[in-house]
Amino acid sequence: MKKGKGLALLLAAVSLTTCGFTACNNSEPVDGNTIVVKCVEAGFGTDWLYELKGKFEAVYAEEGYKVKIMTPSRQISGDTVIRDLYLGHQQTQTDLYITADIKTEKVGVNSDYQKVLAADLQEYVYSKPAISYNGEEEDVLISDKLSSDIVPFVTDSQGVMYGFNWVQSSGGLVVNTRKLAKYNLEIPKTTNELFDCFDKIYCGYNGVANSVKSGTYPMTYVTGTNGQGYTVCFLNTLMAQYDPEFYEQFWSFETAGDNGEVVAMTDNGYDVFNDETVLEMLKVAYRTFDKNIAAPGSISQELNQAQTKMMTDKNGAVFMLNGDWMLNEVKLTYEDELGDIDFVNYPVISALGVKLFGAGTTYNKSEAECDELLSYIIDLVDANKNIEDIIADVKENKGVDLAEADAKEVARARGVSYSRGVEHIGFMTADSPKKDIAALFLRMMASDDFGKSFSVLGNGSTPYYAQINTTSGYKFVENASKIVANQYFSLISAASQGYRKQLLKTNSIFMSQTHIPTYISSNSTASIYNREGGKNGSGLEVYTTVAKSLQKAEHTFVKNNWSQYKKQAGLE
Amino acid sequence: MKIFQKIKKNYSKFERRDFLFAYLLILFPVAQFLVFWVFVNASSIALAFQDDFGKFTWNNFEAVKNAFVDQDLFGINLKDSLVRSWILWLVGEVICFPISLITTYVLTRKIVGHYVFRICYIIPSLMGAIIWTLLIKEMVRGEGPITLLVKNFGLDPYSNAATEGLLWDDATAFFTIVSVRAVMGLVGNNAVLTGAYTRVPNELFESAELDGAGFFTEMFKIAIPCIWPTICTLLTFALCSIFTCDYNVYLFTNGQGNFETSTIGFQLFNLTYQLREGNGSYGYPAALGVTLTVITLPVVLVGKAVLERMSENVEV
Repeated sequence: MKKGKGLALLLAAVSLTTCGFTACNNSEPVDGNTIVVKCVEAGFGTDWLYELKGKFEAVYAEEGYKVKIMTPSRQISGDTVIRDLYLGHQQTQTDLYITADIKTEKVGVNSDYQKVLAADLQEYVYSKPAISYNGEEEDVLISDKLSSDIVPFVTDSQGVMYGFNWVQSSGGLVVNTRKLAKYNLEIPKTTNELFDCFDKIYCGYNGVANSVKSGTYPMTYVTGTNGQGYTVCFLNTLMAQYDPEFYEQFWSFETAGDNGEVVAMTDNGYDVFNDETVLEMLKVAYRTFDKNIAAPGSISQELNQAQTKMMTDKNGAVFMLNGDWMLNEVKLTYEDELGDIDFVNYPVISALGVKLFGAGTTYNKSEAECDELLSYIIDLVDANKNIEDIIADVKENKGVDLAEADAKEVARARGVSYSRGVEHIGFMTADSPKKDIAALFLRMMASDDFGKSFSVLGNGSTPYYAQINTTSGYKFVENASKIVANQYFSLISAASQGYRKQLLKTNSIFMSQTHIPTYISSNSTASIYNREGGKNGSGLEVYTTVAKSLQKAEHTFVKNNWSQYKKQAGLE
Repeated sequence: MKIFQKIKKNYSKFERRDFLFAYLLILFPVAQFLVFWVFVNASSIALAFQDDFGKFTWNNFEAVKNAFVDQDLFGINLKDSLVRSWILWLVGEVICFPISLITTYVLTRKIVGHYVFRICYIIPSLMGAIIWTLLIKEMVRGEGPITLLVKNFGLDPYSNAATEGLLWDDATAFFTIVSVRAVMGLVGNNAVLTGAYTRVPNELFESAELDGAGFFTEMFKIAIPCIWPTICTLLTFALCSIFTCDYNVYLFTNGQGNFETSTIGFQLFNLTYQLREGNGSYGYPAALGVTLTVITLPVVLVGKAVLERMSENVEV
């Protein structure tokens, strides 16, 4: 009996404690005027969300609309949210998810759950204007504010707009300008300029000793699972810069037929690996990921260690392929050094200059002249000049009659930006009874006011407000926003599509080497440098030779396995 | 309904209540077993025989065959991984396990300083695999103490092993993992074996001493036969992991398995991980899993039978 009483007492105590904690968790009441929002804790923090909540509640105080923000977490992303959306509002009580790592088609008609999981935002959000912080509607519709490049990422396979892209974020080159200034070098705009920086930093220049002695190396990167995608973004961008049509073909194994129809390359898709675009990309890759000139530890380190190498001096680096979110990630640890780093778009592949202006073209310039002209035009593109102005400037200062098509091609290439922002999508629960209120919240998120606020609090840009950010105080943030605000800005992403998606099971660039930078940095001995901080006497052809060899091996590999891929995919 | 009447007739109210309590208690683990073991495994086996459209196919097994003979569709040769798995297994179970039997016995015989040695032995096995792996990883990094030590023995200062670490060079990476495996093999079973050894009655050893038996005679003729059931259990578990244990290669190599370190266990995970980014067709890794299971099952059954036949029933 005594034991029974003791057990009862224990259970009562446990129940009381549990109830107490449960009560703490749901202390804020949720009524018909309160929307529940779950937000991922991404690289932009969540201060902006709480400010937006305040502004929203102030504007709709009369109506009594409120926003309840559940504790932000990294877990509010991917399949977790898809599952929540499937469970629906009745079980989750959540109206809005501001999330990441979900493709919109996963919540559309082709979702794994065989039903639409999110609300169609065309009617609720996109066909209406954004709402400013003073409650007034803006003049333009949200759909008109959104770049057409982003539309495919917020629509499902049927073209229905279920997603709300809430951040514009790009991969690019992070530069430590404090270190670069010691060498009296400028931020590179072409890959050849980047390699020139590599040469001078590694071998010593402007009174600074070589890397082995100075402890400053040209480059660092990540090859492990966490952050290795940053290097792949660079390689994809190089291909898109060089030939945008081929880039589409490369990721889809599809081409245009005689009447413009889409034709799957069912018999010879493997030939995309034999294209000159792939070779040019590989030549740059071999030179960029030459382990001799990477900061020691680059092959074995994790992302945080790589970023530390960018911020510090001992065995540090000047360049890193990263993204416009890096400043936020290192902000807490290196608050005093944030002014040292800058962010620019990836350098344009120098082979494009040769293709446009080199031997055999009307310009007939040498490789060095091609790169000089390419770099000069990129400067004008970065200054956001119109094509006519660019042509006139080149004529006046370089004495070159630049064809309009060529000027446009360079501007396009410079504007290519590898978007990570399109992985950050918001969704409204399909069966939410408060869709009207949640839609108002999203419309406020699409406003210019929110864009300005996000640029300060999140050090980032939204897809609805492409303005240069001069308020953050960091040149890193300002220059990152210049990329988005540029008139030639366009987005790319890399994922298997069309026939390639049906056939191959991964989103790797190559099939035989799933991560090219890791493969090169781990295995390649091709180098023009020695390990002592100098050159070994080899010419640049060493990179070309290995690039050709890897390209041939990949082409042969995919060709030999083509039938097997088709069989496994049930396509033969 | 008859069964309920029978239960009502044969058991008292209190007994029925106890039965109900017991059944409800095991309901959750049984449900968990059915969902997370039976269903998941059945689903995996079914996947091995399906193409992307759910139609029956042998192609996944053909891919497994190609992977062992040449390369799979992702350029991976599983034969090399299999050989590495076996090497690691052999080092752990054939070399280190017998040594750990001896060292643990020596420590349980209360030699001078045995408490200190025992703690040194047990600490690594108490630490989580992730902590232990991170610790080792830092020690064999480019500037880690073990790498610096190896440098003093003539390691090329410009080699990957010296600048990046011992796990990042073809010449040293797998040897480093084998060494770690050996250390863990020596200390890993210490706690279990110590428990088994201490249950052997002291009277047996005292009687043997009176008969003039030496230290090792006591060990081989008394201690090991007495703990043979424990050894059999440990070896049976070891047989089960002959293919699947990846010896933390994923953690050691930041998920890359490069520099000739990949094992079969690593590749099973790696393939599934890679495929998750595509359109989610897991037929090939499922077929690989089924193939390895089919090979492992008789090995385990035969091994267990042999171990049991080798042992005598010892009543202590």
